[in-house]
Amino acid sequence: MEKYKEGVKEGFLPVLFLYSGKEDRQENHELKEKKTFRSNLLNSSQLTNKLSERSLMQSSGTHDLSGERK
Amino acid sequence: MKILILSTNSSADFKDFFHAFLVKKGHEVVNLTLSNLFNVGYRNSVSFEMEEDEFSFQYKDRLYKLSEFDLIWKRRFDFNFLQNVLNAKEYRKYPPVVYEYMNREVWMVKDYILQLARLKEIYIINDFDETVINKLYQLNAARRFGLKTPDFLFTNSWDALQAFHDDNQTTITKPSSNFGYIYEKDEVLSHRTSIVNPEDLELLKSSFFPSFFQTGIENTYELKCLFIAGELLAVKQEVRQQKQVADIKQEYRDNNIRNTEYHLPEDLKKQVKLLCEHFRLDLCTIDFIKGADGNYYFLEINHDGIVDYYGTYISTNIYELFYKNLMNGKI
Repeated sequence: MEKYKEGVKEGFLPVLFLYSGKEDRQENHELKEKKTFRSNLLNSSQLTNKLSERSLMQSSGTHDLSGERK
Repeated sequence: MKILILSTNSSADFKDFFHAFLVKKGHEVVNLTLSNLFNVGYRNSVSFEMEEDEFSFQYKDRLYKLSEFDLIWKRRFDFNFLQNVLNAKEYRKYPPVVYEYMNREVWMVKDYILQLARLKEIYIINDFDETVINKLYQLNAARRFGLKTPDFLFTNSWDALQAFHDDNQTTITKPSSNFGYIYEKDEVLSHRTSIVNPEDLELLKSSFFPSFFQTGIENTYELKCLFIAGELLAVKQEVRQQKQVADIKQEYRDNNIRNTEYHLPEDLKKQVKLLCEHFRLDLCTIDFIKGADGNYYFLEINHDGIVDYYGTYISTNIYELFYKNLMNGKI
């Protein structure tokens, strides 16, 4: 990270690089490998009932931060 | 009705749930992704032909033409495609100019599909005004529609920054445009909204690289608003342990946020709706801070923001709402 701070001091990088922070790959959900369906959803007949049930379901309840429905 | 969804990839988000919802309502829906078009040799790659007046693609035994669709929805169509999907590592062995060229090629294909759809007068959901991408212009527009925003300064001058800092209790800095993670060897770096420490000003020369600054607002909580085809819903994001927070993402990672449904004042809703309509948005998220002074401060619009996750905290069924508001008059 030092090179980014040096970049700011030298005038090559914007000030926000003074505050670059390391991310934890295990803790940050955005960095975990995402489950993707690729294009198997291209054909609508391949859609699972589970997906449509969820979207048709009236939202209710609350979530905690782990994303689990209470 | 025949509906084409254009996206970068397929993942379990609002787009896919709404896709399923539309199928249940009896519509024929096709989701074409940039992965289908550009992942050459991949098992789900789709052959396509783009000519002056038509775009067609073949999937399994079926040939689809753009002109046969009644409605198009673009959702995260080109969302960091080369970087996140096509695997930017593949391009590191070439000079950077090759990667930049590839980005432009992807943009060209994506944009021409949309241009053709517009010429064919096919309604495109969320065919927003591209000026919404400029976060500085968002702040400018928000003020013109009567919303309060933190003051901002974009400068390369130490004197100007010092004067701005003297006028404000707290100064923050953040990217003025979208900026993802930096992957470097085994490390991943990010750039969050950060409070500028007064002593850090001493590290800077009289002229530094142009940077974005804003007044730090003392806040009580943040609001994530969902704009769903003319309707505005909101979720209150409260830090469990009271403290001054510069970037709420860190609190999320520390498991320190409580989300609850929030009802916005009607006059604020009206102003936000006008702002969204100004940018021709049908679906987006808008971030606000509720200041300790009682005012609502507009932070930014995310034209491709996360909808599904926040929808789970709202008592309204966002799929029904989107369908009802958007499709009425089009079906």
